[in-house]
Amino acid sequence: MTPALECHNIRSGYGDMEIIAGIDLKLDVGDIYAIVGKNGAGKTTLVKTIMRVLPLLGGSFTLFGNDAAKLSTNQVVSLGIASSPQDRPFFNDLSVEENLRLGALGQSRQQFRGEIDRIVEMFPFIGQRLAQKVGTLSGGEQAMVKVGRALLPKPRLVILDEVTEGLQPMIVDRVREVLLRDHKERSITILVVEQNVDFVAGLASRYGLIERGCMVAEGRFSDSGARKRITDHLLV
Amino acid sequence: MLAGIAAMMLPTVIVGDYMTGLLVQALLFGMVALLTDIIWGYAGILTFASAAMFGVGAYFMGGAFVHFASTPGSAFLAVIAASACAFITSAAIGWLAFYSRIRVSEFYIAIVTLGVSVLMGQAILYGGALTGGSNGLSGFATFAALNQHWYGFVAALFLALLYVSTRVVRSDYGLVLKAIRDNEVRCRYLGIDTPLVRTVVFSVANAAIAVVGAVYAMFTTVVAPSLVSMAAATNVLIWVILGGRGTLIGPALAAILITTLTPQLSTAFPLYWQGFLGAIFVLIVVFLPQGLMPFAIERAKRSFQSAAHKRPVDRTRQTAAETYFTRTNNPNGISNAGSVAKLINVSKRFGSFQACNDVSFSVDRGELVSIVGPNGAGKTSLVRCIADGDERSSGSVEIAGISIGREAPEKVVALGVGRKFQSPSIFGSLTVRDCLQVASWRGKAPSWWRRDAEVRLPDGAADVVEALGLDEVWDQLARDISHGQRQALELAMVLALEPSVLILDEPTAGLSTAERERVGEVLLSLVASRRMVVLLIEHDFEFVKRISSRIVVLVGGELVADGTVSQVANSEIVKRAYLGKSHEKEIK
Repeated sequence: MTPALECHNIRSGYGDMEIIAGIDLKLDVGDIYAIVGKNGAGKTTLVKTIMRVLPLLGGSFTLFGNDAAKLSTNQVVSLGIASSPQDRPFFNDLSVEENLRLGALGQSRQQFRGEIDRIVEMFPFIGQRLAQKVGTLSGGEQAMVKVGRALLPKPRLVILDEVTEGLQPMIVDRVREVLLRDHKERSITILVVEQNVDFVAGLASRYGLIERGCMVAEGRFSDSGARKRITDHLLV
Repeated sequence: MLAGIAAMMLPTVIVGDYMTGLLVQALLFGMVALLTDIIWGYAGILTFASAAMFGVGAYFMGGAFVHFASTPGSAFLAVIAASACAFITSAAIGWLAFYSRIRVSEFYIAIVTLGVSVLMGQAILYGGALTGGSNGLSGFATFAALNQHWYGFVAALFLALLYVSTRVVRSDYGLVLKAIRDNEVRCRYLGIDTPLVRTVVFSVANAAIAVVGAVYAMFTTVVAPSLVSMAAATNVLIWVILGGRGTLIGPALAAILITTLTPQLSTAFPLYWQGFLGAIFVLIVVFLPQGLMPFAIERAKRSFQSAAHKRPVDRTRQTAAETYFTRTNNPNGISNAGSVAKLINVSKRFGSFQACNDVSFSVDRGELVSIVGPNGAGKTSLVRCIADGDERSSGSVEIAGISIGREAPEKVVALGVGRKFQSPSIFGSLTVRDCLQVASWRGKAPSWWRRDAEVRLPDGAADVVEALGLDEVWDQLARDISHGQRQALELAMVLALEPSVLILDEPTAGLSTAERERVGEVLLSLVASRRMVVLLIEHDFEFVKRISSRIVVLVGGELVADGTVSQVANSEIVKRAYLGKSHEKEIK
């Protein structure tokens, strides 16, 4: 089966600055993969490269078998790949519902209503705030809308960058449940970028440790000592 | 300098009298472009008023010569009156635009300057004999001098202006201007009186433009309403865009080039010249949005160091952190007096939504109080009310016994409050070093003329820099460093203020566990050694439990619990409304 994502020695960065210095990564359809690494290791840069926001400076990668070098960001999205970036890229003056709608323009009105109901079921607060401007929500509430927006278009692959940031513990648990449920029901592929080891350990099956733009170790969470290995890596 | 003057005098020998006269005008317009670049490119104020200010100078001078006498005395008085008029008008615009507590966009200010220009244009048009109406003022006597002498005088003025403005934009305050352009809100929360700084720059530069206008009138002896027309107003901005915003010499060169070429080319190609110029403008805006000068500089650099292309970042630490900055130890830190932060019935409403409702508590020296609660409980709204007097709907806030009233953030900072925002708020186009230096000045940069070579950081900030590896990215632009590094940078910037009350809104989001530990250690040591007060909003409950001396709980905008760590952590409300299942797992 065609892998959801397959990277060969990719390199990228900002301007003349190379941040990702050759990474190989393969995600089969239905994988839940966690990228873990310290600050400044290049995690977010990797996500931006996969989403084709940053230029590819070397190597190649495919998304569901398509050569990504030929794709622009909107084409990546139309392949069924959704991302929840680390910052808060909202249309602040638009309502919560409008922001969600913009994440799922391909859907008919009816489909969208159905999906909204699912999101509201996950995060009941969204149901009461659909008409409110996103800019007036609190930071944590925006984080929830961000996850909702990524999952709403029924993606085949969802990329979540530090998704638990700013969320209260209860909601972090909820996010994990929702992701696991979508994974089970829709067999979506999930790539999470995290520093919250507890969160990924309960979610992902595989992990990769990134340091200075390189993959320094890969493994399975079921391996003995996996968690200790990750925690130690983050501590050094 | 001398070589520059010699080079600038060269044209007078080569070109004829007509061309010399044209060059005088071109240099005057070059000065207008340069001054407008200071206003727009450095202070970030999009202004349409430059032509109007130029007109003020020209009309004052023309008026003085027509209605009084063409003597050095009246010329001097006209220059004084014109620059005073421009200064006062600009200060009034500044007061309207920058001191308003309603958050206004750059375009609002642009519209205000546009309005003022139109107003001035109309005043001149209907000024009767005083301004000469639509004919303007012309044919008045002026000082008899050869074009060459005028050129010498104006060229000297131009070089002097270029020197002074280059010094100023490279000074400490020049750095502050860039910081304001980048992120005004952060500047205010570093204690910088941004409305004052921007008003001063705007007014001084406009007064200088008026002086240039006065010289223009003396030289040309023609003062027409077209000087203050919309076309003239937009021309100035076109020069700045073409030359490159924020490069000083770029806009000046663009103005000089266009002014000298226009008469030649418009006689050679009367029909196409304007269209040609328009097309060039469109092409440059589309393909070189930064303007010609940055492009030329980039090209020159490339050809010098083409080998260094796309080099990987050298991430190895080459020197010890101490060589980057000096530590300042402030022994007379903080007294041991009682309550430092006191909230009395603080409420915050957004329309019908009640974000905080009658919250009261007080915090003493040496306490680290965490504010926890579900997402949307009003935590950030509450700390905003402490850091900005204009935020709360009712109630009062006291810092060290002084009510913050309705004061702006920069005034509250002066009372000792430092606030770190929820999403890192830094200066993206400055290096890490410069961000920290701006912060270390605590609202007042040392000089308008010199640049401080040293960065002086108090212990807390220095510790964060070292513990979180900011020295490794010391010379990188702040927008290029990772999210977690930006968090660390903002924390260090706020600590550079040595606040007595430190407000931290999710400071560890984006940091790894180890980095969190280090931040915790720095905070605890500041609380212990300087008796600092820390108000912390944080979702990592383990972290909260470890470092807090007290926890207050907000739910739905109301304070529902306030107590020691063990009291609050075991309370039913926290388990039910905040922790949920995570907590049960902890017990297992």
